[in-house]
Amino acid sequence: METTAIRGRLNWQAARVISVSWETASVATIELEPPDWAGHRAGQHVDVRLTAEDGYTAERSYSIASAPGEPLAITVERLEDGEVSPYLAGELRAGDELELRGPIGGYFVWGPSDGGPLTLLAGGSGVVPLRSMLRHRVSTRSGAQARLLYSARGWEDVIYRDELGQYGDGIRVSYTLTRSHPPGWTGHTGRIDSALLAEVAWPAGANPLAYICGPTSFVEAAAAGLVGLGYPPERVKTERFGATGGR
Amino acid sequence: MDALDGNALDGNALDGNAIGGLLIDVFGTEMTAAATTCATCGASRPLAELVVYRRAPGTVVRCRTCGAIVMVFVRRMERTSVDLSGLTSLSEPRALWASGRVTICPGHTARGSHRDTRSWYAVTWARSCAPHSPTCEPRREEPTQC
Repeated sequence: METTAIRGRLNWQAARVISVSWETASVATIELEPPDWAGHRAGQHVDVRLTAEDGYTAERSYSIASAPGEPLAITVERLEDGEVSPYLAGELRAGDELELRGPIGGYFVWGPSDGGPLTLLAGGSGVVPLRSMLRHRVSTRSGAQARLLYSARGWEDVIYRDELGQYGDGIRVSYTLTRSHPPGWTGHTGRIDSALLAEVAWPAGANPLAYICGPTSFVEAAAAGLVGLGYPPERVKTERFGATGGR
Repeated sequence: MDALDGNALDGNALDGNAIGGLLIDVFGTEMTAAATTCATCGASRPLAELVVYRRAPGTVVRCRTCGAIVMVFVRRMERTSVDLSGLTSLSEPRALWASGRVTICPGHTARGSHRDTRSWYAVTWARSCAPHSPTCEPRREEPTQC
């Protein structure tokens, strides 16, 4: 690993794992302390690199879960057939070191100067960068009103469930559960469609700014839905992470 | 952000956000918000909204409107070969070539022009290259300091 910073290059560094906490049965938030970290913007990600004993390396990108000003944290969903995520969300322990570089990204980012109102659409672990934006909105006391629609398989799969339930004025959180829902569930069910978006997203007339993150198929459907409701494409920012969250 | 018109979008496809780190390696700065123009259909959009495939040998970036290949990155040893010939323009105010680790296919990668405006840089590539040749040998270029 390089030990001196080179201008114009992101350097890999060994971050210390401060804590690992579980959000759901298969999703963990990992708090990290990199030796060289100048801060990040809400919506950015880090690249994580694992190196095997034989020198083989695997890299993945993970969205930053914490708000700017907070300690660096990533939230990782363990994919049973994954190469990297079972190690991160399963083997990694406080005190371990994890090689990463970042922060990365200058497009799918939000700050108070970007304003609102915000339409945030999350598919599964796509909620992670949007959570960073919401926490940033709260910590900066931004007046940007936000509506989050979170599509999850089931209620037990909802990440940050307690936190999302505690947001107050100015942030409205809606859920749609696509596979199963608890008895008495009165929220939305099924995949997002135009009717659901028309009900929960800001109307286009409010000049909202939209951020969509999730599996590619989710993002395509959600983005097309918002444009169908009259959102200008340049006000719809998207981030896709493949079929099942390849990261 | 519009769909890849006329092409069934592969569910494994990523977007330009996913190669933010690679782009910093190559260009020396954050590039996902850079403006791009497709040389095939003329569509303009932020780099982050382009379609990215990382499962091919190397990284292939396609236009979301017409599906044409607009950028290719191939890493060999410590070098990254870059082919930008599918773009007519790539504009990021702070971009500069990062280091000698970036290799450019001569004649096949559109050449950069640098405009020095105080302490920042505007880099715009004009499409002026021949079709890619598989026999092309990448050549090391020294970093350009504006």
